[in-house]
Amino acid sequence: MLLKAALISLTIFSIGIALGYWLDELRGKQVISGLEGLLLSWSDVNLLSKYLGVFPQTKELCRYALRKNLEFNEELYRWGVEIERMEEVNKFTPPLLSEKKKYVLLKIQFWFNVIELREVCGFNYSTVVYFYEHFAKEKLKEAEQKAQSTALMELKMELGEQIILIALPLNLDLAILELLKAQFNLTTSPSILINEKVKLEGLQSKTNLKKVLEGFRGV
Amino acid sequence: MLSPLDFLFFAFAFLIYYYTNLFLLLHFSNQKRVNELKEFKKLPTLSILIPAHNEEKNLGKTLKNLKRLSYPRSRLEIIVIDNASTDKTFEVARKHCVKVLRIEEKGKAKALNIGLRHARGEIIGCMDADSFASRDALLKMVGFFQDPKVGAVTPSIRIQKPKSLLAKFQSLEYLMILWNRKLLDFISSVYVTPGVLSLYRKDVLLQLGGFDEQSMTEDIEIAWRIKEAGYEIRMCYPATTFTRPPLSFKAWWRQRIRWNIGGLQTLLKFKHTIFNPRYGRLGTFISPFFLIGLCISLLGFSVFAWVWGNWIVERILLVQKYLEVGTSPLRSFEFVFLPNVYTYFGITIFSISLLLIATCFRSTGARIGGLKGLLCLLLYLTIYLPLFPINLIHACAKCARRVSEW
Repeated sequence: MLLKAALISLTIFSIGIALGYWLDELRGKQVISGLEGLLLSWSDVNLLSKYLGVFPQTKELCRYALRKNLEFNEELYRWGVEIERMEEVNKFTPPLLSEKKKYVLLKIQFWFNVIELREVCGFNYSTVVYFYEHFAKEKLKEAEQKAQSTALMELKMELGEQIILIALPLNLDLAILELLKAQFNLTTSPSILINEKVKLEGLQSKTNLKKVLEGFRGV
Repeated sequence: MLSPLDFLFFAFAFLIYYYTNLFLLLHFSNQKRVNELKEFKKLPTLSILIPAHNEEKNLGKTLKNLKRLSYPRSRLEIIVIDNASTDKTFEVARKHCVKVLRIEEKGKAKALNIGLRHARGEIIGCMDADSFASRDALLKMVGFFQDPKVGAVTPSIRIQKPKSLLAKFQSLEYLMILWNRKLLDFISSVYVTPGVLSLYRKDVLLQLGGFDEQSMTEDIEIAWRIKEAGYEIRMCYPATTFTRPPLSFKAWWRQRIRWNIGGLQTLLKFKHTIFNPRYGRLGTFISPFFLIGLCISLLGFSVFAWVWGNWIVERILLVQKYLEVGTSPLRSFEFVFLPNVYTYFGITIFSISLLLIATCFRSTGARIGGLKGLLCLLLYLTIYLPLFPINLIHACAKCARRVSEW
């Protein structure tokens, strides 16, 4: 009887492990295929900016390019959330580090793209780049980062297309991130870079951020 | 990725699966044997020992009940051991014309050992002064002593007509215990001879030197010694005995501290038997079962407390930071269902546990009793049961300080 109970328990337990592994794998595959779709979207959006540099621009073309960039950013944000959820929930598959890096590289490319678009088309939106620590170990830092990202999201909802919000992890092993850290002397998180000119370190209130943004034209 | 906490959870999940499946298998394989009885051709002489400390309120009713039992009076001896009472326990006992011994030192085990020395019966019954056995309980129980390997027999113990919520919780608990105990009987793994009422073969008790006067739960300790000596302990399911539960939370808490300390003492005393097949079921099931139960309780509660403690700290910090950045700390909660291995384990453990409880209810004839009963059961599962590991931690702390008050 003891052995029978052990065998039944082992069976139920093994089914659980197998099911858990299968669910993790499925989520991982969804993220990978989602990122492939994003790469495709990015190629399309990127070409729009290139087009504006090659052929004469019009206001409508510029607005169209901006709209497509913002739509791409929304899609990028949704997949970012998916990757984060997957990182929290998955137990059996290794962390999708390379997918995370692809995602971050896409974000950086998008950032550079909107800077270029602003210069070419004369837009007056502000870029707000938020640097955080990926998987912060300290609870205080984790709370600060969560609060900061929530404040920025609320600011984005209030100001709409006047700001373009981009979130980048500081501690992912990418050469471009190291360059950005050196260029802007980014040593702590959370940090915020506004229009590649103003750097704010530590937790920033919405009020303070609005003040800084008002200092730039068009806000 | 998997952390040490995940492995710990998986180990707990497997153990919970194992024990719940074991009990369910035992139940479904032995349903027809639950009410089995053995007939004794010639009834043995029986001495019932009742240690009593300040039991003037209950003793009289217990003695009246004993005299009404269907066991032949000519073969039944009742001995009350007045255990340093400061009330009228002695006088109440004398009024019922039973043998009364008086001792000055406190201690239930000591009282039982003194009673054992004066007892004439071949079978010794140990009973609490506030217990009530059903009319034919003794007759039903002695039959099991036909088997010379049987050293002790225990009845079903229930709580009669519980009124308060705490009493109802204990009633549910005793129901689960008596059902589990009968199932363990099918694999020779009854691990306690409850002080409420248990019968022992006198020769076995004398061979083992009586009850351990240092133990806080002499009923568990003697049971393990009986098993260690190679004897069997059987459970007579149809023989019912009723006990009075502690009615105040403080009394309940103290009782459970004593039980836990006694359990820990016994486990430490018999640590040499753990996973040792030389000691039969004591080594291959009972002592590991106790140890695993202890670990699950302590570790499980510690992990639970740590996880919830962390969550609370995170929430407090988050609220503080939300206020600092000027956003509202009251946010709508977005529920996203992302199943993983924990979801599966959670659902299966919950389902198997419900099946276990339902099977126990059906087997013992208990009824939920409508919405009130359902609420009581829910409170039992969510409030009463979680008190057990907290009590165990308190007991461990006391054990460590070597407090030994009863």
